[in-house]
Amino acid sequence: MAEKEKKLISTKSRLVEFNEQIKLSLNNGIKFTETLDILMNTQDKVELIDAAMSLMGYQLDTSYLTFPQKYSAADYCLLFFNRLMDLHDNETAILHFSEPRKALVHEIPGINAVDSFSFKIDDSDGAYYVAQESGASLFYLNLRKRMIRINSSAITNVLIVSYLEKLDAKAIKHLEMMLIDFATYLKEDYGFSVDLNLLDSGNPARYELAEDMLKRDVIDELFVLASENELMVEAGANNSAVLKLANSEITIYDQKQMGENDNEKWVIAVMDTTQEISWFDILLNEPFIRNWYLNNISELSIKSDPLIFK
Amino acid sequence: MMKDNQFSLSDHDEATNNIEFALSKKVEYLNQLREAIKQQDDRLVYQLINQSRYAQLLLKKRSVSEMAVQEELVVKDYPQIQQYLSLKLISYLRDAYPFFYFEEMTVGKFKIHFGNWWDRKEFGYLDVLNVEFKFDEEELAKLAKSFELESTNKRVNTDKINQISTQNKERQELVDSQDERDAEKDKIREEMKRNSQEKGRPWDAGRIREERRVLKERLTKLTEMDEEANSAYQDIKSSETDVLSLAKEDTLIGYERQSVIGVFGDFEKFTKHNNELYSNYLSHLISQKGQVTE
Repeated sequence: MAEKEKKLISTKSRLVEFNEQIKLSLNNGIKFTETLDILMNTQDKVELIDAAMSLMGYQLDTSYLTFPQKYSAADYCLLFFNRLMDLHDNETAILHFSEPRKALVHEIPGINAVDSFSFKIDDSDGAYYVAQESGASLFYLNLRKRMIRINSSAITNVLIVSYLEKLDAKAIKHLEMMLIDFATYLKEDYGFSVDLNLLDSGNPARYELAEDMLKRDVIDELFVLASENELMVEAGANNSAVLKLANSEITIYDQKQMGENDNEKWVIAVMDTTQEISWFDILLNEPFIRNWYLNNISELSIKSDPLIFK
Repeated sequence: MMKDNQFSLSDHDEATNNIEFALSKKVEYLNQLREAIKQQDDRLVYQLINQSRYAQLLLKKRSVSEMAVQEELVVKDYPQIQQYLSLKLISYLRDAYPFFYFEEMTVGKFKIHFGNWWDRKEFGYLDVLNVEFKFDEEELAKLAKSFELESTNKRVNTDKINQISTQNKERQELVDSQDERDAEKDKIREEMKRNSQEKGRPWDAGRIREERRVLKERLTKLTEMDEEANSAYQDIKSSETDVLSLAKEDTLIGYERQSVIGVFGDFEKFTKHNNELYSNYLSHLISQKGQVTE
């Protein structure tokens, strides 16, 4: 008798427990949909980034309730990207559901014929913005650590080497501007730490070479090429090389000799009156400099944040 | 008595006069030089420190005034005098030779850089005291040669670069023809094998031996070519560096040539102006002074 009663009680409590768990799971699901509503619709930038971070780490499934249809952390990150652009009335990229990949991708007018983009999440809540065709990471984004880092070698390989063969410079410039705008919004709206790297068009920007030393031969080659293009590489102060173009001035120099650093460290600087021209723009628009740079890429490649891009 | 045995001494008054006169001449010279410097009269300074050069080159005369003997008084002061004179001289040269850049190495000693371009050449020294360029003869000869080659549309290193390019083309062909050589070697080895197995009649022995010798020779030749092909890639790489440095020199000389043409028109006028720099400069100083006093 006591045995039977005990069994009955335990069965009942199991049912209660089950019911409670279903309720919790459903509530969890409701909360999820509310957060997704926020991510999709809010006009508030703080709510937006909080929703994105919350969804990227969201445990939607429980042992009582699983949802067969789901989006991934990478999708929410991409959605955040798009919404932030929306809030600034900047609609450069189109969010598109890729049927074969069952995931969201970015399609960029002018680029979509050759490539599309999506995020790849790493194990420390960071996300790499990946060009699908090459698998190269154009930048690294971490919403929690409030940072974004441009990857110079991927930008060079994908935008300069690969796209320029198939696309016109204007479409590539469009993509460049989108990346710059996104990083700028992150900085202005949320105080992100931003490294635009070779996309930085400010005059104080110094594009550091991955190799500290630079052989004179490499500059000699630019000197000869410039002369063939009716331009002159001039001797600047402290062993620097200066190349004046129509709207900008490039200086290649050793920071040690210039008194800016204790150790030998060669850098490239690009100056222009409106501060709109970056090293990337030079590579995009000046064929002989691009050829020189790519021919000597082992010597000249621009350094990216070494903690992120190894 | 003793007195008579003494040598007679020269007249003391005369000696006094002589040395006084000599010293007063020196003082007069130094005063004049000091005054010239005080007045910033560089023309006069030039005249005083080297009278014969002044007479010869500017006045076209051989005569030298007595003051010339005093010039050696200031030999030890040359560095400072050069430093003093360099200000006006270099400002004149910057106008007359806008492509020359003067770097002061030690007090009053100036190195000439040709141009403002990357890796511009050191082209020699400026002799401030004599208002004279001491050009690097080798570099000057290269510049002269580029003018000689003007009509042929060639640059100084064009032939050398072409020669290396031809050589590289041959090297590349050697690398590219490796497969053909391998096939030919196989064929020769076959033939050698056949040759060694050939049992000819006694009178064939000579022919067989000769055949073998020819085959061996061909094989050796092919093996040598293989070795060359092995090092060809490295040779091509290192000759690319040579071509770069030759092309760079051509570019440098090209800029030098354009600069000379831009200012002087041609090499002859440039050379003439260099050779007459002293009189050109001093005439310039004279004409400037005229302007000031007028």
